Amino acid sequence: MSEVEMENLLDALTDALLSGQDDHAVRLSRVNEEMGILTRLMVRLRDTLQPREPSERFMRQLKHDLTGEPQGLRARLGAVPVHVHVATGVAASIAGLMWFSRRQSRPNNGESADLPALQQES
Amino acid sequence: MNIFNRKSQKPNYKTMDEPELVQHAKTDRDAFGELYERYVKKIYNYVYYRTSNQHDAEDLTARVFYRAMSHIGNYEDKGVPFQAWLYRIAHNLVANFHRDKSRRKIIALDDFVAAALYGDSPDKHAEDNEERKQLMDAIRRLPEERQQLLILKFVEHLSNAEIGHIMERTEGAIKSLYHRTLIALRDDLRMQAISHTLTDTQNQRKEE
Repeated sequence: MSEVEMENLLDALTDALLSGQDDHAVRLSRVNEEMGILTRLMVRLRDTLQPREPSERFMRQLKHDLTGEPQGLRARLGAVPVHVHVATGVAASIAGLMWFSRRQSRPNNGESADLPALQQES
Repeated sequence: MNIFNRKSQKPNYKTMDEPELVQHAKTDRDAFGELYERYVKKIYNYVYYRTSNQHDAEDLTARVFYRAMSHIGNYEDKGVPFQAWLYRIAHNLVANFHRDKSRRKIIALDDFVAAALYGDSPDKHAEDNEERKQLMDAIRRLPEERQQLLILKFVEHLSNAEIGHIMERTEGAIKSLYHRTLIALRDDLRMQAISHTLTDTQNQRKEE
């Protein structure tokens, strides 16, 4: 096997291993003993060199330091655009008014209807 | 009234393709923030495996992005993708870090070694940990460019073309370097195994 063929085969083997196609990799590695040894080494490399996750806290803090993006819920709410704040306030006020007007317009028979039942229980 | 105008003044950076995003990032921190989101984990991983230490990895990752932010105005895509530019910054900072560290002669305890020694590893994992430690030690004995290649391939899963952009080599040269790296690693591990066996035999003889 020429040097270039060997390099291409190693490349194909690595791609197969990194994409989880281990069966395909095993088939490719049967070409010769040397390739079998290198395949075992590549499997060790794959299993050892696993991606590491930076902590969420570190990523948030660094982004804040770089871009000034606020952190935490209170700060994020503070960063919400003004029109969203106004719309939320208006919606809350309407909901409150509707609840209050419903309560006012409800007849008192709801309370009086409960009374006999309570009296009966007592 | 303008405050009820629901249309955002800024373009949607999340879906923007990279060259356009980079242009925006030169003048807009939010656009740079999106670039940061896309690359922070990759750069952290790269730096982590070049330093073997979480604290140093965080410190250097931060420095990479500070430097990128301050120099992005000078960046021009002359056949070098932004990703490659960022990795080159990381590579230079890691190289400086190792140079300074060797001057200071501070020997840090590897996270890998610490995990193997102090981790809650029962006997069944002890052998795996020992094997991983041997492999990591062998990787660190490789020349710097070979370490870089292994990390970009196995941790970052980059293609030969992408690695070529970062390391300023052709795809063919990367394939060839990869082959030589694997052979060197195999030979180093063999030598270490022989050396261990010899030491064990000598120790046994001394005890007898």
